[in-house]
Amino acid sequence: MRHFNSFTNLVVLCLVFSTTALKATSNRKNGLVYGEAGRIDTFDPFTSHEASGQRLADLIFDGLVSIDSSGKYQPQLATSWKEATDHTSIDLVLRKGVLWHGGKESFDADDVLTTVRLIKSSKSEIPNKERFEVIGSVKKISSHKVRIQFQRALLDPLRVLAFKILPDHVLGTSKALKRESVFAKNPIGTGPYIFVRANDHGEILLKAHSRYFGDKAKIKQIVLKTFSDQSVMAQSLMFNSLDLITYISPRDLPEVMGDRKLSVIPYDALSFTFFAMNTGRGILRDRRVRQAISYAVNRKEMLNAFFGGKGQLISGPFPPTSWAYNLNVKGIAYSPEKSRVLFAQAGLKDIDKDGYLEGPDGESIRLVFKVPLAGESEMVKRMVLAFQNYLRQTGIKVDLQFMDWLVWKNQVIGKRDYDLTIASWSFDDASNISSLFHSSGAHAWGNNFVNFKNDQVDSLLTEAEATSDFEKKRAIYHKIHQVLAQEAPYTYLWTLMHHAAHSSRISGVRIEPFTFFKHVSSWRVR
Amino acid sequence: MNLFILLSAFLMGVSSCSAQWNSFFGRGGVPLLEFQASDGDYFPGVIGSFFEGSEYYSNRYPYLNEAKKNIRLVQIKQLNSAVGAENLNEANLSWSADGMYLSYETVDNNNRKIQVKNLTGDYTRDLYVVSKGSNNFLNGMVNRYVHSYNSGLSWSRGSTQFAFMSNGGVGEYNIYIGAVGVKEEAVLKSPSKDGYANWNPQSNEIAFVSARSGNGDLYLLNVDNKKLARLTKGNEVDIFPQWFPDGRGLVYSSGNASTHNIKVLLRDQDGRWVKHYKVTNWRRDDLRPTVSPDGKLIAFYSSARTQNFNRSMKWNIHVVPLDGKSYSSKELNSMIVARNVVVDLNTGPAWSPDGRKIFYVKNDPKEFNPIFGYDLFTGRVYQLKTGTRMNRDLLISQLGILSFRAQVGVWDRVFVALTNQGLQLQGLNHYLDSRIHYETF
Repeated sequence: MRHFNSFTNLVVLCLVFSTTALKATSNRKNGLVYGEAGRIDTFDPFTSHEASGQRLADLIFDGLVSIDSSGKYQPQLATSWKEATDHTSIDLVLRKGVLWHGGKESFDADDVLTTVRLIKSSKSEIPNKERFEVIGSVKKISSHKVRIQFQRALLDPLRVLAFKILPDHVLGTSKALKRESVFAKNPIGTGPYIFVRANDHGEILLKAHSRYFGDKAKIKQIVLKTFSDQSVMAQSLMFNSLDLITYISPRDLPEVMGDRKLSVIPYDALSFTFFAMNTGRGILRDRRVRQAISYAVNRKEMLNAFFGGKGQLISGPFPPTSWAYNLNVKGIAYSPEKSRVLFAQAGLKDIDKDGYLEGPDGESIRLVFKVPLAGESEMVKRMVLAFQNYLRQTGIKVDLQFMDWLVWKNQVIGKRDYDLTIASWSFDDASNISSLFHSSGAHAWGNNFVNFKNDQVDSLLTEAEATSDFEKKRAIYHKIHQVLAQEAPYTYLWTLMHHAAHSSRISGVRIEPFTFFKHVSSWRVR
Repeated sequence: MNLFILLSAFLMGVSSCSAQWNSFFGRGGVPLLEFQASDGDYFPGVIGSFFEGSEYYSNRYPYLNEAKKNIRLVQIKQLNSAVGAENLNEANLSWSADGMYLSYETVDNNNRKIQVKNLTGDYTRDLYVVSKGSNNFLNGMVNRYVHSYNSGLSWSRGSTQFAFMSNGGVGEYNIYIGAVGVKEEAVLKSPSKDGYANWNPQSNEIAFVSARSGNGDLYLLNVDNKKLARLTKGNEVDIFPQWFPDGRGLVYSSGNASTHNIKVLLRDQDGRWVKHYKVTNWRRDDLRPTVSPDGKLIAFYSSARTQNFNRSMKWNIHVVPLDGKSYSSKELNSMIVARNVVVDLNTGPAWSPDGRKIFYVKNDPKEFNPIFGYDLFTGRVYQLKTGTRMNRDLLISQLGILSFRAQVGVWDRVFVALTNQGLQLQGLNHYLDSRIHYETF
C-alpha cells in the first residue's frame, strides 16, 4: 500500500505544552540535538501527518518487524513468524522481557490486540488508514503468541505488520486514537528513547531507555527542535546550534555540502512524482494524447532546475532500485516534435490558427489541472507553471486550478473531477501497484484515481498477485511496467534523493530510508 | 563585457491599486524634500540609456508631482544570462549603495558564483574563490570534493568594496573582502562558519554571524585595523544582521528552532555598544529584518499562527518603529502591513528609497506569486504587473530600480524594473547626486 505525499510538510501550531524550556538544549554534553522542518503536533506513531512524526516514532516505539535497507524483514517485537500455507494468516512469536517505558509493564500479546483494534477503529484519526484494511483480526494464542488473520491471501504479509505497537496498559480502554488525546501528547513506547516532555517552542526532549531490550543507546538524550523555515534550520546546523538535520532542501544543499565540518548523507525519498491524467475524460481517453503530453514535458530540465538534479528520472511506477523496475523500458524523452505528431494523429489541429489545438469537431480544448496546495508549496507552483508552459508550446491550453490539499483530495480522489493533476506516491514496499492501476480500484476514493482500465494490466496484476514464484512475479511486473509506460496514465517524473546532514560531533551515523533512526543506538557523540 | 538585455517588454503606469488595511501612520509622516527640477529630467542619464522607457515616462509625466505619485512601473527588462549559464538558476540579488552595481548568484550542482555588473555595462565580474590543489581533502576517513560556494554580497558605503561569504573551495566558510578591480581575500579565517556579512553604511566595519565561539553570534570586524569584537553571546542563534543607515545600531533575528525575535544593538557616539533590547518578544518566528532608509522603522517576516491542523504556515510582514521600545503581541498584531507573503530570506522585505513603501511577494498561486507595494503613509496596496511569475528576492536600488528573480521556463532569471521610487524622483536627488558624483562614473 502506498500513500500520498503532499509535497510539503503540514505545519501545525496552536498546541499548548509546558512552557518549561528544555534545559537539555543548552547542555548538549552527551546529547544530540536534531532539527525537523515543520512542527510535530502529535507524538504517537499513527495520528501524525508528517514524516517527522514518523521519525520521532522510530525513537520511541518498536514494530513487530522492521525492514532493513535491502528490504528484508528483521525481528523486532516479534522474534519469529510462520505464515499459513494459504497465506491468509500469520502466527507471530513475541519477544519476552520487553519493558514499556516506565519500567513496570511488560510487552505481551494484549498490546498487539489493542494496537490492531485501535488502528482499525473507524474513529481513529489516522491518515491513510486504508493501509490497515487488509488486516482482519488478531487472536491471542498465548501471552507471547498471536495469530493475525488477513482479509485475503497475502504473499508478503510482513509488509503490513511493520507498524508500531501501542501499550495496552495505557490504551486498553480507549476506543480510538485521537490527535488531541493525552497519549498523543505523552507517548509511551518500548523503543530506545523515552519521551520526557515537549515545550511550547515545539521542542521535544527524549532520554535513553536504559532497559531497552536491544542495543542500549550511547547517546543519553535527544532534543528535537522543529523549524518553521528549512533554510533557518540548515543555518542552525552550520552555526553549531544543531547536530543533525533530517532533511536539506534543494535550495540549501549546495551550501551545506560546501561545509567540510558536516557530513551529508543521501537517502532514497521512497516516493515518485508524476503528472496524472484522468484516462476516463475527454481527449485523455486517447493513449496518443497522453503520450503526446508526456513527450511535451522536459523532465530532465525540470529535475535539474528545481531539484539540482538530485534524483532519477523514471519510466514507470517504481523506483529504479526496485526488483519490479524494468530497466529495459526507456522513459518518454522530451520531444515536442513527437508530441505534435501524436496530437495530430489523435485528430487535434489548430484550426483557427490561434496557437492552440482544437478537437476533431473544432471544439476548443482546455484541460483542467487541479493543483493541491499545502502552505506556500513553492515547488508545486514551479512545476505546474513549467508544465503549463511546456503544453502551451505544443498547443494545449491548461487551466490551472489551485486548491487546498483537502479540497483537492475530495475533487480528485473522491469525485474524479479533473483532467490533470500532480501527486506523488510514497513507497512502504516497492512493488504492489494493484490498487493504483487495476480497474477494480477505479472508483471514488480508490487509489486508481486516473480511472485507468486496461484488460491486459488487470490480468497481469491478478496473475502477479496469485503467484508465489518470485521470478515469475518479477517477469510479470516487468511486463506491467512496459505496458504502463506505453499507456501513459501518468507522466512519470522522478524519484528524488533526500539528504540529511550531521556535524562531526556525531559519529557512527547510519540511516535507513524506511526507518531513519533504526541504528540510533550505535550513534555516538564526541 | 556588456550587460545584455533580452526582453524589452514595456509596461506602463499604475497597476491595480486598492486600499487595504488602515494607513500604517495615517497621513503625514516625514515630509519629503521639495524636488528642484522642473523640466521632467528626473532620471539620471545612466538610467536613460539603460531604460529607454524612462524618456517616455518623463514625457508622459513632465511634472514631478504627478510622476512620483503612487507606485508605477516604467519599464521591465530581463538581464541576459552569462554565456554558459543559460541552464543555471540566478538568485540572491544585491545593489551597491549608490545603485550602480548589481550582483546576483548563479547556482549549479557544483558551484555558486557571484556575478557583479554595473548599470553602465562596462564592468562585469565573477566572484568565485578556489584554492588551488585543495579541492580534495581528507575529512575523517572519507575523501570529499568540496565545491566553491560564494554568497551574500554586501557593499561598502562607497560602493567600491564588498564583502561576501565563501568556502574558498575548501569547505571552510569565511568572510572575504574584495573591491572593484581588486582580487578578493579572506579577512578572517576560522574553521567555524562565518557568514551574513553586512557592511556598515557609514564606516569600514562589517557585522557578521560566526560560530567560532558559540552557535551563531554576531561579530564586528574593523576592516581598517582588522580588529574583531564579539557582539552577542548566548544559546540563541543570532542571524540576519543589518545595520541602521546611520551605522549606530544593528537589528537581527535571534532565537531557536521555530521561535525567533527581533533584537537591536545600539552604540553611543563613541562607538561603544551600550544598549541591547528586544523589539519583539513573542512565540513567533520573526525573520530577516530590514531597516528603513531613514532608520526609523524595521520590516520583517513573522509566522502567523493557524487554526486548522491541516493548514500550513503562513507569513506576514510587520513594520515596527525602531524607538527603543519592546512591543507587545497585541501591538505587533496591529502592525501587519502584508499578509500571506512569500518569505525571502535572501533579501527580506524591500524598502523604497524614500522609506515609505514596502515591496513584497504575495503568496498567491493563481498569479504565481505577484509583486506588491504597500504605501505606509496612505495604506494603499499596489500590485506591480510585471508579467513575471514566481517572483523572489526583491530589492529596490537608490535609483528606484526594482530587481528580483522570476521563473522563465524552468529557470530563475534576474529582472530589473524601473519604477518611480528612486530618490531622484522622490525629491531627495541632491543626496543621490552627491553620492553618484562621489564615485567615478
